[in-house]
Amino acid sequence: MIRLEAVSYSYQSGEEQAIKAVDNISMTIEKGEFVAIIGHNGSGKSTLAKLLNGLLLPQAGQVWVGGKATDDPEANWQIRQQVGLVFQNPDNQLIATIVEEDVAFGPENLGLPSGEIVARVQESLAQVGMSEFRQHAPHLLSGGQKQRIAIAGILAMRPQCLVLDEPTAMLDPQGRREVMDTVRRLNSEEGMTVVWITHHMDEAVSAHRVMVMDQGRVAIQGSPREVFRQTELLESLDLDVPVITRLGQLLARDGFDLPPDVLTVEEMVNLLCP
Amino acid sequence: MFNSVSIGQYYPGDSFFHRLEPRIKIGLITIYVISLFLLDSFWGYLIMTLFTMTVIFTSRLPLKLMLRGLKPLYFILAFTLLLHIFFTKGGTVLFRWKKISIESAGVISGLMMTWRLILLVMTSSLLTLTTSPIALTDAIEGLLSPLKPIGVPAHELAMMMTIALRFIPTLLEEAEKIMKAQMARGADFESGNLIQRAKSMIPLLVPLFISSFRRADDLALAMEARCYRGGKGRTRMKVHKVTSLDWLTLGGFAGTMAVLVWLGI
Amino acid sequence: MSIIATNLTHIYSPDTPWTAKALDDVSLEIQDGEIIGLIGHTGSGKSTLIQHFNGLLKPTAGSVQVQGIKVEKGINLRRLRQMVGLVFQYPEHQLFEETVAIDVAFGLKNAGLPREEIPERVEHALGAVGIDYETFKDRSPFELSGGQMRRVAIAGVLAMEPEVLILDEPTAGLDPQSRNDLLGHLRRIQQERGITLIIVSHSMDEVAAMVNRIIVMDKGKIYAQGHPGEIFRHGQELRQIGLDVPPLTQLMFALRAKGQDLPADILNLEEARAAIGKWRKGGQASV
Repeated sequence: MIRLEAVSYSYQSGEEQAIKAVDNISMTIEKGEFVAIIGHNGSGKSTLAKLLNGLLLPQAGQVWVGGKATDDPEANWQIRQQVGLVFQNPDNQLIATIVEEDVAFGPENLGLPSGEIVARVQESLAQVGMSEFRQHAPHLLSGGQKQRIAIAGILAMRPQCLVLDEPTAMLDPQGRREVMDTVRRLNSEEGMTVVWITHHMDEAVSAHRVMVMDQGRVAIQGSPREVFRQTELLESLDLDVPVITRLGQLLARDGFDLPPDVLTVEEMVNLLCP
Repeated sequence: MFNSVSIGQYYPGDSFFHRLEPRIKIGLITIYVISLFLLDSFWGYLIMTLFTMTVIFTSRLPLKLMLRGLKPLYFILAFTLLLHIFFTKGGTVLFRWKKISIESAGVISGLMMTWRLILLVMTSSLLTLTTSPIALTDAIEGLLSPLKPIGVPAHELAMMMTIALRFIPTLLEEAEKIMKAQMARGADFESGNLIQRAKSMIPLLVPLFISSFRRADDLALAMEARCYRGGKGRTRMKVHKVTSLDWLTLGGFAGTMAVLVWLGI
Repeated sequence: MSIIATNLTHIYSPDTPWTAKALDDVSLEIQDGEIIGLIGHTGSGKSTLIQHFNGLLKPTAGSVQVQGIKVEKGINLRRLRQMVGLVFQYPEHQLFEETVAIDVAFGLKNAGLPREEIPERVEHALGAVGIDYETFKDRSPFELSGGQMRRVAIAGVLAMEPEVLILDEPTAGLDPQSRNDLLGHLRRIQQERGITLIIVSHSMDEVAAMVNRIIVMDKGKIYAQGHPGEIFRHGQELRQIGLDVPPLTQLMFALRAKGQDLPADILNLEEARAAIGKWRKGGQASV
């Protein structure tokens, strides 16, 4: 679905040396996959998100979306439609004063006929469970609700892949749960390809694949188990390890027969008390 | 403290006037305003008042809301009234004290002027009260688009209005937050003379500007990610069609007004 | 006695269609030198509560007393605000001066501190949050990293040397490294100065390790309060009012549900490790 070939991107800041935000990254994202990208602030993960849908173009290497390169000016808009990007601050990505008008913004830009837009708006709002808020003003909704409207606005463009750049960073636990559940369901029930960027480890536990970024490079990559078992490496990158995994490793040191990659509470319960 | 500000306060409803095509509504109100200036008589104002009242009642707009809309104008209304009472001369002298006199023509023209102003403001506010902001911007875009060839950026203006309407509440909320944060650091926004007060706004305005620019940056990126590339090739979800009933209403109203003006009422 | 709220009620925009009761008959006492975690989801009334402590809001009904001063109309707000430092959410959004040092000094100037005392206070405040005065004093606050900006903004409040320091969601949006740094600084500041510290958060996990008492708010009322361990014992109920239950507490509850004898009030990894170790030994002994 998406393929990166030796992609690099640096920002020029004043006269100082350019900062390499993304440094020679190659990766593939398969259709229907849920990929979590983790890294602390400044690790290059947001730059990577913008490279995926052509908002930024690689300075070296190539990003391929469904067989087309993002730097091909002809394919540019098609790629932005195919790879939908949701940002961190829900307030700053809603543009209309009424929810349904906002969700319609993308399809309107695609030049679709009115009847089609209406159908897509209804469908997308239903997908994120916000149908009843169709006529509401976005600024009166909660953070989680706003973020779901932002997701609906992207879904209305019928993308093949959803890239979410720290979508929960500004939300409270309830909002986080709402947004996470919505996206997980889109992935598992509708086969939507998802790239989920975060610094909350526990949000990555249920991903198919976890990619840890550090200084613009991929530091670790693999299934959540393969990644989170590498406690010391993660800690050296200033990242948290899920607390259940850490507990499992400590107990193993105390003589418990536990693997180093217990991820969830349920697993731990079943292992300790079968 | 900013909670009481509500801009473009749309009062949702499903009345005849609510459902009129917004462009037609703008047309109707324009005709109304012109007629109000041409019909300069008691009977003329009375008929216009009846029109306004009919719309208010059939649209189920609470009269209280309409009167609250006049509040910011109380000063101007009072000023107009007093200006005419004291300085327009003619008719019988009602009151005289030293060099000050109040004459009947002044009282009459003062009352008429105030009446006209109230009608003007109330009727124009009917537009924003019965039309959603989005429909209104669409209408403005529609009305301006014939001027595109001579360089009027109709789409851009409408888009700017939409974004402004969307972000006004957000920025007001933000302003309040910043104000409180600075007050917690001992800032004083309320006392001092004019210059001191203007200076005391800096700790509010600088952060507010910075945050607005950051929001603008984010928003531009988000719009681009949603395939926005200006008005070209863009369609709309809600297509506003002018129905024959709309035309009929506009024609009927324009005709009535023309007859009234012709009769010299 | 530091802060006393008695039957405190706050109603926003009374007598309008959008009126909202944010605080409903809240009574509480906070002692000098206590470290409090104030927990609740968005809209539970926690932000409204803390704004009463420095007079930004006044009670609609009931009363608030801070260090013996009753918060009401006509009091010396300047003194109250110097005594109770309030750091809002995303405090970096309030930075506005040209340099870090001038921005931190803003509150001191407002308080009318003699000019010659200011630099020392600024240096001290920046040091307390781990920002080196000499390196950063002349830099623009807008060139700093997110975590640094946050700490500079907090220094702006610390410089006033408040007796009560209140922070609303101090770690929101920070990555784990900056979060741990910041919490570490706060803990040290509290210990060194012996001040009362109130941390508002929606994450119990984060504050549990450092506070003496947790106050849980819901719908404008105090839902529960007590030592973190006691609060965690109510784990499952807390989930229903929109709060996160820490994974370790979830684990304990799940094991207890299976009839295992484990404590419900563990706070951190080490306690969990010890408790499970003990449980296993007990289990083997009985076999």
